[in-house]
Amino acid sequence: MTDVKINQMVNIMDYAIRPGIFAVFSDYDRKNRTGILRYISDKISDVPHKLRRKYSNLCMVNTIPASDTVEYDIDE
Amino acid sequence: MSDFLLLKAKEIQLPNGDISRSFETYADFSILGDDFVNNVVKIDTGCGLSTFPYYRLTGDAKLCKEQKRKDIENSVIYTYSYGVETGGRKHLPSLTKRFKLKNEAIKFKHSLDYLEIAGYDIGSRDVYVNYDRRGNILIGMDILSQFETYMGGSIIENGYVMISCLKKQPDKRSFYEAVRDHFGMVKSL
Repeated sequence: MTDVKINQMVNIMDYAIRPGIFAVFSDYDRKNRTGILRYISDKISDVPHKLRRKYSNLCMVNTIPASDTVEYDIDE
Repeated sequence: MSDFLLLKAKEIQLPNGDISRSFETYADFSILGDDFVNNVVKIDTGCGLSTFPYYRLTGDAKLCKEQKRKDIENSVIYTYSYGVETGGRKHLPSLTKRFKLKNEAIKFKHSLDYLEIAGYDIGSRDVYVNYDRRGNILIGMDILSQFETYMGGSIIENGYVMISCLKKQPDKRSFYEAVRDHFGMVKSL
């Protein structure tokens, strides 16, 4: 992925508008939409659990489309 | 921030020529101490209780196990699902903690501190969190029934749209204007 700034304070929306990404941020500021990018991938794979030990509150961006392999969701 | 919810159905052309349509969009919310920005959610009128698969939210399998164990230990309110991911089978009630831990259809009630769907503020809501499934985040009838909703082919843009507004919203002028514009319908008050 190009222009990825790991461990830097970024504008979250710069990543949230990208289709098909899963990104994890710490130090999320909801008002200013900023955070420190800690992890980014193009799929929902195992995010390092160590992030949980280091940072108590995280912010996740997930623009990966809903699964098209599930034709319908019936859930009660 | 929007005064109402306007969604256009996503269309997928299948190899057999059929067109599959569904409403999916982006949502911002906060649950279990984390924030989620622009997470894809699916509108599902066939779903009675909105369900959030925790693995889809966090991508952390170990966290899912830990949080499920916590919910069981803390006697968090729960219920069971049945559906596509369990082959349509109903699950037997899990009576012991061990069986609850193994049961993949069990889901636990938690609060969203806030929920915004496609820029429309829904407020704080209770939803159910499943720690084993990896499917879609489903916005179900527990939330959808709080809306006044119109659906149909739009006369001003190509596609099938859904326009919704919370029933309790005091000012619905923008919503009714959108309904008039997209469907040619006027509500008599």
